[in-house]
Amino acid sequence: MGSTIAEEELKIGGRVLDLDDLAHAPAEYRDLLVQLLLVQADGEIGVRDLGYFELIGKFPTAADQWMAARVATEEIGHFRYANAVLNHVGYDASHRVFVDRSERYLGLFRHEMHDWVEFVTFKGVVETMGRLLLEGMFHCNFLPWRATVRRIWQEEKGHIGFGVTRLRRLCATDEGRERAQAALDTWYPRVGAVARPSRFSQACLDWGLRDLSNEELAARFRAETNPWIEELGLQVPGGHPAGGGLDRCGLDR
Amino acid sequence: MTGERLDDDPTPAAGRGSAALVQEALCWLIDASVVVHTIGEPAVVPRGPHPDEMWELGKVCADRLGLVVRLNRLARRHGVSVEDRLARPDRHFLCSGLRLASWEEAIVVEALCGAFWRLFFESFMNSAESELDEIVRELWTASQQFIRYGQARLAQLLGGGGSVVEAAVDRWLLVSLAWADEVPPPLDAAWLAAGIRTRSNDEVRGDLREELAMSLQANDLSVPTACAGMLAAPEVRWVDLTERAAPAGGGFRPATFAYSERTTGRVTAAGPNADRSPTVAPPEGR
Repeated sequence: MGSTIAEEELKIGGRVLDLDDLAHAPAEYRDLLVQLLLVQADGEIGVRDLGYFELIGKFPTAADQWMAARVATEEIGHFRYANAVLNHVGYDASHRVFVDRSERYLGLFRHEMHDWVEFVTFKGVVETMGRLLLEGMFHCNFLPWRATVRRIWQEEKGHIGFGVTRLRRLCATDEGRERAQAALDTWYPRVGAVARPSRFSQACLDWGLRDLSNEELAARFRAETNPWIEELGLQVPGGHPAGGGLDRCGLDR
Repeated sequence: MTGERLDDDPTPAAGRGSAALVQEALCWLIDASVVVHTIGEPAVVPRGPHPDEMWELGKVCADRLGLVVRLNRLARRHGVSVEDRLARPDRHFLCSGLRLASWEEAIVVEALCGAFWRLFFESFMNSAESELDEIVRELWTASQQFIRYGQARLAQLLGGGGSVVEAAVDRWLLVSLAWADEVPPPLDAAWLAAGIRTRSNDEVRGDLREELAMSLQANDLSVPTACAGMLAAPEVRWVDLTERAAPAGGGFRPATFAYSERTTGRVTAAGPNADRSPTVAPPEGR
């Protein structure tokens, strides 16, 4: 198709784009799409610096060590998926691989884990927000990304399952529950940085790249995680301190 | 059964029961398999040059740990476990505390030192203990894949200049040669006598030295000074493909890899620049 795609067609909804259509999409849409993919890729590769791989050998059982290695490796794979879509639209995120932790776009990935309990807490609780973010792109109007989102989502569900089951096991003892609470107190508030309203997320909603607002994501996150956190005998940490967010992410071209 | 180290046991090795010897073999197989932790291989995954390489090495580590889980299932039935072994500061193959410092070192260890693991697992093949035979076949098959992965990436690394590889070889080759000396001779003899192990320490050591020397030569890598006495030049054998007669009906001469030539006994010459020597007899039992 050779004609220009009108902004309204994308904003009102119903119009979906394939790779060939992208050249005819408004420049703002194209920029936003690249930015969205870049942020996703940056977050996925952020795991290389979170301490996942260094913690694999610290898990208490051979089965856990195996699962932790699979989970960590699949996160690297998610970067490759997102970067492959970026490559298809003429961009690359390889320059984000080795950036300093403090330079990650999402505040969530500017930290380091020191204990395998943090790993499972991250997977069991924090990753739920990652899954919800992906679900918010199930109807993304850029079809190559929509297909990739499903693929990542499928694996993220497995990661969350790993975290949830290990957290449950951990919370069966007082000592374990204490460790889980400490990890939760550290990581749960950090999710707030992802769920804050931002101009970027609003633009994604406006252009049909996402269909769940950050407020909706935060509400769903709380509704889904809080009851079972309490069921485990843990306390939901209060407040979502500000920080991070996506606004500072810019295109480098 | 408690999983205590039997090579510390004052009972003469030959006097131990078969069950105890199988249990001891499982301890050694676990210790060999958890070297992935001992050398800190997962920790160098994020140091790969690109996410593709990180993902690949991550998969290798995960596959290795998956095999550890399989081994653990069997070991538990014999009274030992991976978790217990990992907690022991005196387990085998501790590599003198050496840990991988880079992704490149991980590649060298997979490509070159990996030969030891394959040979070690192979030494328990056809064991009188069928469960042991079954698990080592699985470990052996996976080892082949890990070595191939390492060799493929090693070739790429060497294409970009060999200094990093040479440094890694210097650091790790002696360690892997030392692995072949860890099984105490009395235990080796007891395993062989009980039919639990089918290839001796000497055979494993000999094959390892030969294979390492050949791998170094094939990759144009120098033998580290510290290993020079162990990897003597005559052990490196070349198949001189130019000596192959063309098929009677015309066509290409068969090109084969030197290693398979050695195992099938069709080695025809010594090193390419050396004097021609008589056909080398193949090692027995391969």
